[in-house]
Amino acid sequence: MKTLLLKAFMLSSLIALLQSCYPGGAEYTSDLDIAISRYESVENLRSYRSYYLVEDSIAVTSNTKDTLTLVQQLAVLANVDTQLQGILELEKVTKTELESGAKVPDLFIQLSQIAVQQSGFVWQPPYYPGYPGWGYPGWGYPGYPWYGGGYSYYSYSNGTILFDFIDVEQTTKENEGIGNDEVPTLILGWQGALNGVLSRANSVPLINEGVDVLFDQYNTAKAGTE
Amino acid sequence: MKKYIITLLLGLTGFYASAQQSDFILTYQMALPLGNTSDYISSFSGRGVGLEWKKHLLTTPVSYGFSVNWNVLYQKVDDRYNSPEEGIVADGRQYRYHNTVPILLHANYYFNEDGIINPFVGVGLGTYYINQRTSFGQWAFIEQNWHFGIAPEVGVVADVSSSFNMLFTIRYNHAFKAGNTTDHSYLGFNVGFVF
Repeated sequence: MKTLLLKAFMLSSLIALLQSCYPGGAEYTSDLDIAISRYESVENLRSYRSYYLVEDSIAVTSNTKDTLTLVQQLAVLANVDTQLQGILELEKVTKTELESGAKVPDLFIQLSQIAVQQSGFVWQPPYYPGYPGWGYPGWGYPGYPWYGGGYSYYSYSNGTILFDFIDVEQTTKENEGIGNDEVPTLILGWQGALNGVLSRANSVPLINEGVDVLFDQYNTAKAGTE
Repeated sequence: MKKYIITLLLGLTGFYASAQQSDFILTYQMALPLGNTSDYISSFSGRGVGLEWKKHLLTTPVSYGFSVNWNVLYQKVDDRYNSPEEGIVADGRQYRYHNTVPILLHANYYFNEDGIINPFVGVGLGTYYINQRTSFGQWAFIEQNWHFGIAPEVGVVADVSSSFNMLFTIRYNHAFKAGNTTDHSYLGFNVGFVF
């Protein structure tokens, strides 16, 4: 009987130890921030020399108010404009040049922001703050530094900024002969996304850091090797 | 009726007698990833547990048994993902989890069964349930499969107390390729109590 109790005690201790040490994953919303880019052809990326950037504002698709203010949008756009010439070494085509037909850019660039509100309850066991959490609404939501147990309410905005690089030549060819009432098909030469950056106070410096990362990805893609 | 009761009693006595030759083992398991597993997670893991039941043969220094184990590998990775084939480049923190549950049949040979220190060699054969999950941003990529696997091991049983012995083993775990996933392997360092 004594041995049986000893076995049961040791078994439960080992399992409890293992479970409490189970790695918990993301702790803060910043741990979930990602920068991701997609492209069709490396040759096309290498062929782009000039761009036109829509500089008036960043388009909004949102169910919350947690999007960038116009002042923030203009600050982000100014940085994007600088880094397109700096990191990507592309030549700028101005609005005047575009409208007069003096220059046709290789890329037509537009940014858009998408913000979605996430909220819910989670139950946190009292004995271990790092526990992955029962009743957690799926994986992947950020943990919070709860102390003690009980229910907690969380609410955060999960936002993405999209960078669409439209291939002007391919898009023009694709839409030859379409009527004025038809929606043109846009051919993307490259698309970048900063996911999670609208989560935290819409920090412009944070977004600017993300822009640097995305454009560095563009250059990695151009290099064409793993 | 009487003869059935006697047979049952004899059977129970026999079971009890044979149970004296059985071991129940609890192990704390550490793991060093190797090969493809190491490419995915290279960190040494101290998260593992195992349960084993063993029965010793009376005439030869051999035992056979059965074990269920659980090993967890984990690593945070900040590497850039770059795939020219897919046309994707991505940066962000990846949380990689690799859960392995080996369910094995064992056979061991002992070199000094009556000694205080009893070295042995053994082999385990069975199935490895492997669940591999990569969390990235708000997405997760999950692969789970049952693999056929083999686990040769060397170890020592130390007679440290009248109520239990200690066990130290090094077990090479190899789960063969299954489905679309690669093979997996790791070196297990196990410390256990033998009852």
